[in-house]
Amino acid sequence: MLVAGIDIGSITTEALLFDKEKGILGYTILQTGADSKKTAEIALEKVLADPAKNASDVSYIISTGCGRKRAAFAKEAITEITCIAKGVNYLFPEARTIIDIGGQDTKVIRVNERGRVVEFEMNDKCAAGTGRFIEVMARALNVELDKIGEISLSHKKDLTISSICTVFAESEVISLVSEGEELEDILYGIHRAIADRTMGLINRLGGVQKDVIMAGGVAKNIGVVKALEKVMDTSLKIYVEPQIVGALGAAILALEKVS
Amino acid sequence: MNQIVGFTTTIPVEVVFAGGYVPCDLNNIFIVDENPLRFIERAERDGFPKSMCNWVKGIYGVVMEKNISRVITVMEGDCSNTQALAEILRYKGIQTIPFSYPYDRDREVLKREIEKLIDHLSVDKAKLSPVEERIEKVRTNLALIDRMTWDEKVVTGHENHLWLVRSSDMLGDYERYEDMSKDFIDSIKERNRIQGVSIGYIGVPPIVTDLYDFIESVGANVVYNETQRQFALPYFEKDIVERYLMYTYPYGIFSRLIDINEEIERRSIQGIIHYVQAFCFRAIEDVILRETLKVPVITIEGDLPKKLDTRTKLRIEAFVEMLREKGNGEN
Repeated sequence: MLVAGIDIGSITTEALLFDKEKGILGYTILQTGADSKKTAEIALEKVLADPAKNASDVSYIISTGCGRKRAAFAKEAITEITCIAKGVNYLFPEARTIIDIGGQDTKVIRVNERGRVVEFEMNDKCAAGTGRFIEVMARALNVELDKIGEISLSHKKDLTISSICTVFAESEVISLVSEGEELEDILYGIHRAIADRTMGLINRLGGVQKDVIMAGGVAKNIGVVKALEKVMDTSLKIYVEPQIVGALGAAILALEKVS
Repeated sequence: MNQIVGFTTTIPVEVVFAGGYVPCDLNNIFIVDENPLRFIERAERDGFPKSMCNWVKGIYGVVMEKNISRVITVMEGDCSNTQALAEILRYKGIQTIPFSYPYDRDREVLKREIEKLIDHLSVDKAKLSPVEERIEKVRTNLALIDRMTWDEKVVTGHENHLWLVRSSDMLGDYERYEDMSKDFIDSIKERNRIQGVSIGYIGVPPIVTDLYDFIESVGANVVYNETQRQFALPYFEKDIVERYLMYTYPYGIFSRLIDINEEIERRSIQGIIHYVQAFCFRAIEDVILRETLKVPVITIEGDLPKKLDTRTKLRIEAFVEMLREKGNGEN
């Protein structure tokens, strides 16, 4: 039995095809762009074309992510918090705390052994400490986004970025550059600020409970991962493609619907 | 216009009515206006900072724009900004009448405060009892509407909110409000029972305009509006001082907690939405609430009288999904 999940995020859209017997059959990741509805359709077409299937072969599709209600082909829309919990539970059944940092949201989810959300916390109105925050800082420092994690690992100083507001932090970072601080130290400070903010959310849920899994695009930034591991004093488990966890959870929930 | 007495939060409204005045909850005038932002803009033009509570700015704007000449300002037991608000109103030539709920719930102090209010408004005490008796009938109807929200489940959370929050001034006419409430009760008896996840709403009334509608759209219903219910004085004490001593809202978080916990139990509430206003000191109380309440709590923050932002919607929807799963016994 074939089902699909689609996660329409603020920056990327992931579609995933799942078979009851074989598990994940394939997935695709696209930039969401300005027309999320169209992107969702293309993502589904691509993932179906990969294992050469037709939409009619798919029994149930669930959409998730901030654009979840834009996917007209989906039979149901479920929030990414529920879907991420389900996806992580499939990959890491021992997971009890999930950190998901995406383009504009940071979520910390406490999950039980069945993949159900027990509690969650999320950043409030602003995108401070999210993927967008990192993008703005990378631009201010003129560094490629996929390099900043690695560069920050060679830091020598524990620089502190005291502002977490993206706008104020950008000014602070520019001031540090003009004061002659090293790039790797500033980048470390940025990652540390994200880790501290995420730790605040974890503390609101009563602290770290192992195993801790990280998902979302920011999990690909080794600088953030290491900074988080340091403030939490525990190691993170990360799936090989952390961006598809929401779509995976949506697909598994779709399977539950038709089973 | 001279008969209007504005106020900054719930006060013993019986006294105002008995004095022959028209009580006017300035919060309600602000929030039901077609364009409430104009009151905030007025306050900011007059120098109020951006980074402060928009309820306070809204109240100020209403007083200035609607030429309200007399305001009862609740100096203790409500908002930490009211002292400065009272001062600027007074500076602008508006008559302010201070009223305080003693933090330690001292009966004698509250009695004295009510007597001072009676003196300020030159109320003939003989007129107070008949007004109290009639208002008790209104509050009895409101208590019934409240019960029909969580027990019979034929009143929506939004309707409950409106009926109870307006009880602070009874729209300036308690006899009409009694008739309106009776008509409403008669009109809903045949309704079907509302389904969905039972939510409790605690904290000050929301400044955002579509909260209740959104909660209903994701399959939940508010069966308890903590502060609004308190505004309707659900304690049928004959003595006015006793009545306002039992009123929990002004006496700090611990008096509120007793009420909240009782109602969570009585109303089988599955989860709590704690609303805090941006820049409000009550956000600190959130720590105690989250650690004390026995059901899941989500805290949402509102700033301007606008619709909910997307992220807050996501959080509420995910919260309802979580509670639904829990209610299905899947957690």
